[in-house]
Amino acid sequence: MIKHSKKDRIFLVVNTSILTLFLLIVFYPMWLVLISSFSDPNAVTAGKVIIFPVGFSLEGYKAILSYKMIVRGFMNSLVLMVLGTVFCLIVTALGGYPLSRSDLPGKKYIMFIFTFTMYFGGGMIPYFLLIRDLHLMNTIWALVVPSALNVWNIILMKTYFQTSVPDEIFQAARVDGCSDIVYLVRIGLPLAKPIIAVLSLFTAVGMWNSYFNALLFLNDTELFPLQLVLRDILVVNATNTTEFNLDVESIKRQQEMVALLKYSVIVASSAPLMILYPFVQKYFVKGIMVGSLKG
Amino acid sequence: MKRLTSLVMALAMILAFSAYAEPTIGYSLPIVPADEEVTITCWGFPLLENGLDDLDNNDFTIWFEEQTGVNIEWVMGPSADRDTKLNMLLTSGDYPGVIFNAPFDASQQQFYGNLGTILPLNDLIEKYGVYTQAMFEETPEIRDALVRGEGKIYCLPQYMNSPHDESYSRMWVYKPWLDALDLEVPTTTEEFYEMLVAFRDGDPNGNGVADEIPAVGANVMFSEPFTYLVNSFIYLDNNSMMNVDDGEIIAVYAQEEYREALRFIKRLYDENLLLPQTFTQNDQSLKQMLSGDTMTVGTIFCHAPFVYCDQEIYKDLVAISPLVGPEGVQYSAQYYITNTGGTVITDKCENPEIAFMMLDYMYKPDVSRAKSSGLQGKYWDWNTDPELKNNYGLNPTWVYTASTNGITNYHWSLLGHHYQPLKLSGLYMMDMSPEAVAKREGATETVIGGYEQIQIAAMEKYLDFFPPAEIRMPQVFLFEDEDATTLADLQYAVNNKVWEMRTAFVVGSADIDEDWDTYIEDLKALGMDEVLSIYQEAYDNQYK
Repeated sequence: MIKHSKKDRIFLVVNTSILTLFLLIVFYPMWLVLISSFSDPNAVTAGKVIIFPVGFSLEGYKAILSYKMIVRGFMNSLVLMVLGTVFCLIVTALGGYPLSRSDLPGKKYIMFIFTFTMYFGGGMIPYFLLIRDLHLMNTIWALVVPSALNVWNIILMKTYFQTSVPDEIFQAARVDGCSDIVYLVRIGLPLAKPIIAVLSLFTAVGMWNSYFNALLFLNDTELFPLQLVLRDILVVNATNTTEFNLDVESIKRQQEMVALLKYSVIVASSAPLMILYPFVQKYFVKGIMVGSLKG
Repeated sequence: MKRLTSLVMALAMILAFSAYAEPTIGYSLPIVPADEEVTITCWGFPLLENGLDDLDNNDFTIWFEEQTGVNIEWVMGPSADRDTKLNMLLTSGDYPGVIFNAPFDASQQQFYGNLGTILPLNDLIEKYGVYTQAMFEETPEIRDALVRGEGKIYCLPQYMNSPHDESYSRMWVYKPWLDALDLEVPTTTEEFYEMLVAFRDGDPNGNGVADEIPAVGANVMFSEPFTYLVNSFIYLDNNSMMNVDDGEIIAVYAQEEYREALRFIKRLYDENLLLPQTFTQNDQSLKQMLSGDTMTVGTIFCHAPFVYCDQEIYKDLVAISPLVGPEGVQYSAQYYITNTGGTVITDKCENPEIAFMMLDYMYKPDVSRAKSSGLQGKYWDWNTDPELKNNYGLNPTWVYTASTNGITNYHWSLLGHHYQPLKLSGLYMMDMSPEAVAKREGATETVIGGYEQIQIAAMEKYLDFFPPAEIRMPQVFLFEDEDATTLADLQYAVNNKVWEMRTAFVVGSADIDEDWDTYIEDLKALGMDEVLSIYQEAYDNQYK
């Protein structure tokens, strides 16, 4: 046990308590959503759910399964996330690796063209027209292809290859008759695990949260990702009384179900990323320091 | 040979007569013959709260496509931001042929109509609009709300007539408290004030604690106290907040009577009779207030109690007719049941005639009913029993035959247009599903459902207090393009100021005696006079 001096101890106590306070402030809303999703819906609307679930029930999660759109949205988002991440990694590696080689002809000009695109954008309407003219409308590729290549990621990968993978390895491999592609696949990428983990986490989060592109380019409810469905559920207007010819009680139950869904859908939609994060966390901490210190 | 000729002539005559049997106006079903294939792209969106999430495998879609022979290809947007997506589609030039529930108001319809983006429907209505014409004849107000410049009609609206839909601004009092304190339902603003004081001081819920909330509302449409209470001083609609005074358009929010009304509300607020949260809370919080173990609220501003509480509580809520103000003014805000927007046909539609026939068919009574309530015969049917009486004491026109509880994708709900006059509304309906019939037979007393409660309240307490037509703002104003854009900006700013200041005057952050003139000047600076003059010009052109 390290013996701390008095000053150190006071600092530790104050520091820890402030940080714990922050933790509680940030954590409590998330906790509230979690326990509300497991509570009886009446208790939730009555405001009785504070620290622990009241009237434990899995109604919210059962309700998810009864709405086709939510289940389909979930699947679509998963597919989008995996496809988008893999595609992005391939494209970024194929862009970052050649740019890290010092003997690439025209390297300066290629780099200039890439960075030039970071400052300008065409706007929403030209973007829409472009996707339409490329016949990507209403397919998952409209969400995957445009955002796959991000110049920041290319620079990240290029820098990583330049700093962390010594040139000597390449010379040695070349002597043994290794071509560029084989080098990239067999040696470069396995050594670049940290940066790949970072990129895949960033891209996965981005793909999972994609809302606006899906709003613009998808015309079939079958293709809607979870975020589109989630927004509909969360902004539902509960005071519509014009269409009511039915028994009011069953209408109320239906509205309650949607209110109940809010919490369970939030939990269900955050779950995959929360599960993914611990696995890439160690790379994340290492990889984010890329380019800061050499050697 | 003779026999052959006469046979041929007979056949020719039969053919000629059958040709005459074709309708000269309208169309026959199926609109598209079986060997042809016509696809119409339609704009649609899911409505999760009504169980509508799959429009392709929807009971009504399948039946409708079968009846008309048309193949509908849906272009979907998510319900929440569908206007954004629709605008994007319109700007890019890639929009569907039929837009259901188009978000265009009167000026926008003119704008897009002049551009040619949406098609005028007058000729189509004349040639094929069998049910549309029948609807116009039965209810002429619908047509009046649709006519734009040069007499053109651009959209097919939803029409739902039930007493409740015209009078959303209501106030409800908890009857057991009136009985406990031996009070009558108030009829004037002073009696209302005294009742609230009695609620506050008299401990009507009998628990020995002064926890009673005399009156509460919410900062949500139909639950704010202003529309209901100001109508006891001057007529205030919930929309434009302007009236017509002898041919002149006046701003209600700048009048002395409005100031008096605010003084009255301020008095309620100052004496703790109107809960401060009324001006900040949303409907969820109001719901929470009504869900405790003991009732703590005496008066609620809302359009429908069943939205905020359960039957044990709302069965004891009584609607109060508009209060008579100190000058004898007593109005109920009247809402328009005719719509100015609806379904439109765009220039991207390759078969506008077939599309129109399909849309006209939706106005047929049984199709309108099926669109809103599910397939005929499966969930509802026409009533054949002349002895039947529903909870309103009326012989129903149609009845429910099965419960739709938990069923999804059986109707289009609020998507699309329909025609529901009084005879086809909830007023003339009776629930004859097995569950409802069993409930009625086992019940010892007639239980009034939440929806029935608001219909009865509307008919008994509010319909008689609508304003005379001369002071009410017309529904349709046709502005020039530049005027429409200026108006949109100015009116938004002015209205926001009005809403901000009315709360400020009531809670005291602005003084109603000293700061009133500053308030009027601020409104003028934001463009109130220009708004009024634009409206006045359009009014003079159209209605004088």
